[in-house]
Amino acid sequence: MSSTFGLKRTRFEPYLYLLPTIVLILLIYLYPVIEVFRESFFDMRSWPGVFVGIRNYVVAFRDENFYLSLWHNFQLLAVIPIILVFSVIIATILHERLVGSQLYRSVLFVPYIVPLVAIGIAFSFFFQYSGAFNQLLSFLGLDFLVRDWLGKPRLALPVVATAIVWRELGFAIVLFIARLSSVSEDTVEASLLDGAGWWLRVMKIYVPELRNVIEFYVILSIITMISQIFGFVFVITSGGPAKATWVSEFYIYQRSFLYNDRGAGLVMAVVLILMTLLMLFASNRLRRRIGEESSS
Amino acid sequence: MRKAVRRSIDSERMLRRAKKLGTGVVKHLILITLTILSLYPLYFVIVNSVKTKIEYNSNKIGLPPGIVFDAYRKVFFGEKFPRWLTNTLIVTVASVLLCLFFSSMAGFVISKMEFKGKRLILNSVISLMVIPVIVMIIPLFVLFGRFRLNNSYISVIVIYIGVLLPFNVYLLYSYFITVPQSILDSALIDGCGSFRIYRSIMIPLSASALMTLVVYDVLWAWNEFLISLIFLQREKLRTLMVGLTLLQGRYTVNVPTIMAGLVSGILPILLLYIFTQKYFVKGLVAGAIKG
Amino acid sequence: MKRTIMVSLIVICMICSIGPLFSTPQGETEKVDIRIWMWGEVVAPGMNDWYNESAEIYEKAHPNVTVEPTEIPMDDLQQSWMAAVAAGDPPDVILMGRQEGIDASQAGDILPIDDFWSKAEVDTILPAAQRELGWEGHVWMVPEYMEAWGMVYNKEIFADVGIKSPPKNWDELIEMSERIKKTGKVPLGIGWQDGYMSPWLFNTIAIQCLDDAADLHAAVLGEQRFVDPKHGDWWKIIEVMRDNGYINKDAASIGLGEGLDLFYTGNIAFGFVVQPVAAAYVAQMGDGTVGAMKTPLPPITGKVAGSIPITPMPLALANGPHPDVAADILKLLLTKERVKALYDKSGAMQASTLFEPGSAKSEVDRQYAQWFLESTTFTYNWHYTPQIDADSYGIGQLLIVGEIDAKEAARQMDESAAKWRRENPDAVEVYRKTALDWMQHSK
Repeated sequence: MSSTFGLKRTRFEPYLYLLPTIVLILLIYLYPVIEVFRESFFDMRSWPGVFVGIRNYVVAFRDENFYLSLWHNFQLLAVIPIILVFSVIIATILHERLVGSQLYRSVLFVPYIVPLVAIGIAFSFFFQYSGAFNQLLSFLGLDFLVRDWLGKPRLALPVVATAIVWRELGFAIVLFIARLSSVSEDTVEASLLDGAGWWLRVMKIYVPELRNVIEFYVILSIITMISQIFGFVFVITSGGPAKATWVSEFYIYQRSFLYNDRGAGLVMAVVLILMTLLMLFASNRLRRRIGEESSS
Repeated sequence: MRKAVRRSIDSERMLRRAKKLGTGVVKHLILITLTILSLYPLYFVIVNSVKTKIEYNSNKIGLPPGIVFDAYRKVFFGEKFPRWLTNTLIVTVASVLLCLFFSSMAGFVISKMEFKGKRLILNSVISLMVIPVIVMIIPLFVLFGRFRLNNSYISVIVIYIGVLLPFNVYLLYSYFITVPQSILDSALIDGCGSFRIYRSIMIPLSASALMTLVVYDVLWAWNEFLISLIFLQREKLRTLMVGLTLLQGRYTVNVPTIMAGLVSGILPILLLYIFTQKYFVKGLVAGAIKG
Repeated sequence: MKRTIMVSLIVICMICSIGPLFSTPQGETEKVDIRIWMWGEVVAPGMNDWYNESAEIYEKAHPNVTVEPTEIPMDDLQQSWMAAVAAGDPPDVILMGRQEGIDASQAGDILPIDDFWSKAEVDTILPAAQRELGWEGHVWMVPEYMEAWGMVYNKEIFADVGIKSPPKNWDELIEMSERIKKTGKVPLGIGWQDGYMSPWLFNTIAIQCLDDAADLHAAVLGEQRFVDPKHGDWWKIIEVMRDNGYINKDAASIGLGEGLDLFYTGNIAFGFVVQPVAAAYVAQMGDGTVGAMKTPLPPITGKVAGSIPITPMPLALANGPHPDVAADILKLLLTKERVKALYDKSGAMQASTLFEPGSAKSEVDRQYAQWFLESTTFTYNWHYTPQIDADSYGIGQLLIVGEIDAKEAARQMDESAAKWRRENPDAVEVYRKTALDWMQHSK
């Protein structure tokens, strides 16, 4: 029960404390969202813009690049199961008091703190045709695997996906370890005595314990792949080659800045906002329903 | 009979130990491979920052014949790097400090006071975290421009604070909730006003949460480049990350110099990480678990 | 109660202190602050120095004015400009392309320079450049420097292979490439990963198939087609070079800059350049190694074949608070002394009658200076739209990496133009008007 702090003295106290936060949130979040919605019905080549009804929507929905960009976002969702599987396995290994697990954990987390700019530049040089990766492959005698990783359209998105996995794995591992550390020791001891193999332990004990966190992480990742992935694409491939790595945010960027006509970009922005809010809403519903089921 | 049983138990134990050793080796192998993969890009960047341009072109993956600091010289003594660093520091420190101040106030109030709209505020704060940055940038640039705020530290600081607020508020809120009511009640009985309670009780008690947020916020602000690219275009105001992307021109590319620049940009964060690891992990994970 | 008052006071103080930042400064009528957003250092190192020096000269003569040149990366220029205009706070002078300039003039965001300069002053700009910088009966923009498009070759490799003089057409070049390849050198070194090579090749090869800019206008408008032989056949040259291995293997994954850098290794026989880049090559490798050559003739030649395109990099005068002062500064930049300083400091030449070809520092520069004074042609990538330009990057990239062939490349260019027409009906009208206008004034 929260107390009634001096509420008898002044009703405005809470709002005073909240003032800066509310002002900033309205400014930084609400205003742009409303503006974007409004502007999507205008021709913004001049200010304040000429009302054009749904013309921007027509242009956007007729543009094959619109769907291409969204399709690339969906393709990137494939990294989520990869990250999940590897991170759960690694987390369980590290959790079971392996020698040096602290050190491993520290090191594996490093990719997550490296600035995106650095990752992008490093990866873009690394995967050039005459770059370090291909040189490494030749050195190991794997010449047949040498490819133009950043040049061939079909290979560019996987390179971006690789960068994403590289970076996100550390975060997931640390996340799951933290959750695992609250698993009761007794259950594990008991299973060990019963002679349970590692795989059984993972499936029967650890994964169920991790379920909530996994769920959370999946939702977070989905939202990330759909609408928070611009940085990766921008620094590694700049959308290339030939639109092979255009994601929805990149479509907004390209149409807004380089094509000199923001209309279709605004439509994509609207679509993105709606999609992410929808996902959030759906995940809340889901969580509530699971909560109900587990309590019944 | 007993001897036989003991021998079989012994050999069973040995077998189990051998198996443990075996799987232990496998586990270590996997982990070591992952470690190499995780650190390789860092190695790539560092190793190539001490080569000359010609050395890099002929040998991109290996160690340099000798360590050359030319690239670093170019980066540090070129007029721009210290300026970039200063700008990043200004923007980072200001936004993090103000953000903590605002969010602790907000978290305090949401967790410990009852008032109209509390639920709404809490829920919206959380959901707003998912709006993509690219959507925010143009309307804000136009808005700030109308007030002549562009190309000033204020614009970027305000945006950084705004972007960091939801997570900060949420984290502090979930932390403050755990502060026992009894402490607050006794303070109230002693006649403390809300600000006194905020200043003398909540803040000290949440030192670890605050530390966590400092680390998280600094990491984010330091690495951020899209917003500062758009809002701080004047050369004098450029931040470190933006400056580093500019080392790559359309026409000229000097890889060791770029790598040296990258190392200089990563190093401070790496050092921060090494010394405050505990908080890093805690922070990034805490929100997730409670959520 | 006391505490609450204190908190409220703090909050009010905070708001008050931020408040003044929201008001526009008034009463500062005497100090004039001119901002120039420009680019060029990466092509012609020393240009930033030249700008700063010019700023100092002007400020000394006019103490109430501060001139602030800022280098903005080429890729960020347009977006920064648009954002600044939308925010009501544009820079006073900005580097921008011809089509972007036309758009900006339509919106009233820039002003024509000949409103501020006398005819004599305007005429110091070379006639070919004036044509590129003007429309609707006005000269709108001012050249910052000039790029002359051509190629270079490595004299030492020529000597090794026994080539006496540069190829006159592409058939000759392809034949030479076979011989060069046999000696283990790479005939052509380029970088196409970022796509910028596409406009470069338009300005060197594609343009020579046309009679006039009118041909290009027609293709953009759909009256001719990019798949027509004179518009689309030249892609075959690249296809042939690619298929025979005459181009460096990593062309698809290195950017323009890295591609240009390849020439420095001495293993490349031919390279595409603009004059400032050629000057940089000579500065590093010497006149004995670097030779200037015009881009060889393609199979189909139009009236402008054999003439080197010159692109005056346009500086536009924004419709800002002090266009007269800005125009005055631009006048300074094009005086004889400043033009000479530009060349001395950065190696970049100016599209001005006041530039002295005799001051050329190297054989290569001398060649290029002579060629550009004779130029009768236009700049290809100033005459189509930004959307087609952006699409061309991807098309070229796909071609060089082997995903598509020449015919498909031409078809995709045609597609891109068609899409632009479909999505921007009002822009099509503006384009048609200014294209017609250019033709009238170029006769």
